[in-house]
Amino acid sequence: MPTGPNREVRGCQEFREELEALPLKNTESVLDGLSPASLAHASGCVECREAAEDLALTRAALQPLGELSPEPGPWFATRVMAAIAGRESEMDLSDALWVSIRRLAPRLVAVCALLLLLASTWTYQLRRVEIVGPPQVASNEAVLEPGQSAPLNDDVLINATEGHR
Amino acid sequence: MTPAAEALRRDDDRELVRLAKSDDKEAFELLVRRHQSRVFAVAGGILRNKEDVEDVAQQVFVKAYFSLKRFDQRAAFSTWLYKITVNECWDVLRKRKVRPLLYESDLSEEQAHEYNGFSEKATVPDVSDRLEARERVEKLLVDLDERDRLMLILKEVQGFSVEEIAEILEINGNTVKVRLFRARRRIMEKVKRRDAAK
Repeated sequence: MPTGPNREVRGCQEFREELEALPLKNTESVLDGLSPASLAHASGCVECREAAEDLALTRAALQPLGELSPEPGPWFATRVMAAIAGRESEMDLSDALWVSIRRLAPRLVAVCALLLLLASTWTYQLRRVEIVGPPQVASNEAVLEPGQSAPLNDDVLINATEGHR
Repeated sequence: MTPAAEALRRDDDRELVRLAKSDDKEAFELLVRRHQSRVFAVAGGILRNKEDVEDVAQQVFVKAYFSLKRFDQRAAFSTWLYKITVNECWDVLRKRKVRPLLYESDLSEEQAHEYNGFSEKATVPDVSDRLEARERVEKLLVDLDERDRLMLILKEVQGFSVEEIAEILEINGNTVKVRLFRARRRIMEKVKRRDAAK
């Protein structure tokens, strides 16, 4: 059994523990809710008496907060459940979208591959026709290029006589 | 009687949580009804505005519903719920970055009447008397750290135990006791100064 100052400290600790555990209803006189041992300790310990007084006065001072604390309305739970249902349907919708995308994914890949094949074949064919096909008629710009003068009248006549021969 | 109603009759949160986890909506609704008042009280201890409290409370339950699968029931459902409540409230305050004080002078007459509907269990009949009383309390709490203030409200207004507060705020029980002791001391000093000035 501790004696002297140790006993005092232990007494204070036990008193404070008991004080903290007091239910809220003990606001007016917190000492009424304490055990006889704690009461005996408090009668000889000024600090513990002050702590008890602080607790009682604090509870009394804060009481208006309890009286004004908000209360849920009668439909609160219903509103919560509706909010949950709303959120769930949103999630279901996005889930359904994802599921259908995932289900369609192989088909989409096949269609895309086919389109790619067709497009590349068509492009290849187009280029082949360009290379093998008839020479292109000179463009307007090419006609007007310097160094290629228009045929003279004499040249035309010479060509015509050579043709008759 | 449904399994959820049976669990409610037995006052069994664990069973209600188990049923809610297996998509029993009725069980979750019963959990909401069981804990809504205290969630409101906790949020009301941190936030001042009735609409904010309602919004946060709804958000808390929606969040709890969608996180329920991850809740392993090692802690009590109520403690887990209050922890979500406190975090949601602090998120709201962080977003606003203002201290949630309400003084009568800040309210219009219409708002004061609206405030009157804040609680049905209030005993003081006059709006201005009640607001004045609250204003006095707020002035006492104004210098306290946000956490100390919350601890004090949870403990001395809502009746939470030191262990519950420690779990909700994720701090050591002894720290809660020490901080409560200091907070009460500070409040009492203010009360004594105020009374001496009268």
